Amino acid sequence: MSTSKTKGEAFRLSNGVLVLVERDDRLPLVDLAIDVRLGKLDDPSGLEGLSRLYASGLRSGPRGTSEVALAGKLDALGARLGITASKRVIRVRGAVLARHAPAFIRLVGAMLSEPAFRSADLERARRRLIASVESLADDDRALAHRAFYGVYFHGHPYGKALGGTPETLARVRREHLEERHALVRGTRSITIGIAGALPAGAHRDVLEEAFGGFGRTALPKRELASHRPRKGLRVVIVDKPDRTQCQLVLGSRGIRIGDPATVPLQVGNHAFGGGFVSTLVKEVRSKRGYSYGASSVIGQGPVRDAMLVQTFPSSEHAAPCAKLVLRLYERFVERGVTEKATRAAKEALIRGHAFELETSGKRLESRLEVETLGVPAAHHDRYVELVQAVDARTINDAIASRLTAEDLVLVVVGEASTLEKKLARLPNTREVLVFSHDALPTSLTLEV
Amino acid sequence: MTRLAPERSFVFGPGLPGSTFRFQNGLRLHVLPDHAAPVVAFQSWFSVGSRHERAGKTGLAHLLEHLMFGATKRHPLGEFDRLMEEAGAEVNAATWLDWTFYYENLPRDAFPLALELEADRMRSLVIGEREVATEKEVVENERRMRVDDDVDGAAEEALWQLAFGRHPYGHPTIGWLEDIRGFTARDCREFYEAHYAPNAATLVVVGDVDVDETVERVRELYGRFKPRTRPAERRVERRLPERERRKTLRLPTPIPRVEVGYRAFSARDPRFAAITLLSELLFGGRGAPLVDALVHRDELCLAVRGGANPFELDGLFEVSLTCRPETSPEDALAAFDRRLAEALEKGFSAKDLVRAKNRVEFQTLSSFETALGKAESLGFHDLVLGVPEGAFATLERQRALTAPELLSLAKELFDPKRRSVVLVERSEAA
Repeated sequence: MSTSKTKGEAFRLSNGVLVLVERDDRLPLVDLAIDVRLGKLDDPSGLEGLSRLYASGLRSGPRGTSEVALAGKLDALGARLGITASKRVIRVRGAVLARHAPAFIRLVGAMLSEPAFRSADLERARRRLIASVESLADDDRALAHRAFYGVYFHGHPYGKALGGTPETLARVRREHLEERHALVRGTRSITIGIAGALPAGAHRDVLEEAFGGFGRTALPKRELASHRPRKGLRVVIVDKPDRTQCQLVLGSRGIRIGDPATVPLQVGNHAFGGGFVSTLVKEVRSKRGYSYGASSVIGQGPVRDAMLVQTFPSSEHAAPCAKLVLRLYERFVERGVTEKATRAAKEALIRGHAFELETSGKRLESRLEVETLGVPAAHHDRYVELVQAVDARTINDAIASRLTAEDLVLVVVGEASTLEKKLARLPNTREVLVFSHDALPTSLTLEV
Repeated sequence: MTRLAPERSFVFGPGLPGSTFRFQNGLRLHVLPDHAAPVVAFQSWFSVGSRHERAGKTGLAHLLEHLMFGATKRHPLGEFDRLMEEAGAEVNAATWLDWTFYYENLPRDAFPLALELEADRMRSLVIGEREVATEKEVVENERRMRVDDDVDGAAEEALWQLAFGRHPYGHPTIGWLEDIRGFTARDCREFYEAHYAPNAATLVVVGDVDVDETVERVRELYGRFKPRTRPAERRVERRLPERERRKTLRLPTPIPRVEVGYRAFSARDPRFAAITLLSELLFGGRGAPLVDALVHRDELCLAVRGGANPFELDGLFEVSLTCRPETSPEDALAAFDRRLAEALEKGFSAKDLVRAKNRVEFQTLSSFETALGKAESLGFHDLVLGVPEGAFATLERQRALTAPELLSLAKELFDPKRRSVVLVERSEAA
């Protein structure tokens, strides 16, 4: 089996902007991926949502091209384009029929270099984003995550509604977008990736023409304070009447990007809740039928993010399922994983790694993670080797030093009147907090 | 043993040659070698879906899909998942109106194991009361997630029931809750015996494989299975509705919705290719007239979608309007009717046509980036159209379509008499 990395190419534009290249001639398609290294965590306090409006502004088109005309141009090229704001990055992801790649690159270059930020577009985008914030009340899973981050990371930027609230979105003015753009355009804020059916020069001249005007200076470094969670178990109920099913999220501290314990923890997590035969799936779904799915993930961020366990039992089973998940998580943190489970998880991860290399687009995404998020290059280049080196002892050492069951937040989205008393009886509960499902999406921080 | 000759050869896209084999017991096999990555997509398609269920037993095809991951005579409960997971495979399955399929995406050296396990569970599944009871709980939970607590899922289920009534497409694939609760192990065994037979199955293998080795291994593992006489399917006459049907749901949501279903054509009907292009012309992307009008200019909706899924019998062209919180579903529907009439009155320009055709070409090609995508296209087109490489013929048909042809089809399709409408209003609890 081939498990070694595929060596891609790279070059720099005259201004130093890095271009990553992955080739694949099987289909006449080209992917264009651009990361702008400024995201929601960079929005000034009180202007949360600025990054989303900035992304919308880029998507509305450059000077001289209306939003509708831009959409027509993209469609005429057979192109797909999305611009989204994440915590640290604005992601521009596009793909196009290969025969139209040069025109597409020029168009995206104009969008990113000279956005018009027309007032009418800004107002429309603002109204759309406010409506989408309000519509989060309809999405139980999103509510559960918002409640978890709001309580667990209370007082930290991770705990805020980083996508904005109606109030903060209303404060963003055109000058704020222009100020953000001056920083993006005036620095070497972007990294470009291009993949697919490419000519010998990988469209170097066209990329130079489109993105050579970005500044040469490095983007100023930003620091993010770490977070000190509070001890004990906090139970959070997002009160939503008439639910037949509850979203349940249990979480605690995760890791920062680049943590040397990342790979051992990922293998351990695969055994606990990452795979289809994990402990969580066996206990929650296969043995008890409590939920259609159960999983866990170790979140990584510029500072420690969260480890989350997620499942969705019926309202009737919410309390016993919560108790079970708590017990399983505590046991995972206390006892770790066995040699047998480690072997199985390693096999699955090593062998499944072939899919990470299957398409040029996937290979490009891995390389962009290294360049823009600070994921160590070895994590992708030597992934198989790193997983092979892990054993139960290294996993359990990593669990013992990084994870804890002493500061936990359990969120259940469901009907508070039927859940509150039952959940309050969970062992070591410090407090039970109840939030209304319709107020949650519009609150910048939660009252804890 | 003599080497089995392919029943036919085909070319997938511009450069990938594939072959179709038919075994004596009726089993079909499509093999498409693609050595670009050391992976294999292996799929087992069965021509049984929820349309083959009878009243009172809805959801059986889907429940059986769940049970197929259980014990067989050779492998105890949990072993299928464990072996596949350790092999680095991505494993899942899907059931819909016309079919059920199981897939494994594997590193190439795990392919023989997957073949052995799939062959084993096709004829040796053990279905006991305990396994059925547990999976019924899981399916009930899946139903809550997808339908009962999901506004879009509930609206879509109501739309298909309204549009099709007692027709086999009128009940949900996941089944009615009371039917799910009532299933016994015997129901499941009977369904399995009737439908999981080689003459109801098509295997698809795409990826880093050798054709001859694959054919021989399939013959060794599946060749001994006897074909079965399948239960006769209830005949359904094609009858168009004579008047609009309408239903209102009151659900706990801040976002009203509208679901409209126009009776469309079977995927086997040559007009179906035009429907896909039509959906792109009217609903595809920011520049499409209905999205531009309702989302961006009128600002009545958060999202507007339109399109038809390909089914063997006549299905629906579905339009979904996700309203802004302040928009009533009645207002959204009235605006949709007005904007649709305007768009059809205006007709389609050459530029519109280029836009839609490029979008369709892009979407078709991008779905073939992975072995999984290629295999799914082969399996689906074989089962529904009888031509595994049918996606490319459809693309050719779409390239040749003209604006007058599409406009004429649109006027036939968007006839208010042949539509069903579900309006979702906010309940008091919201």
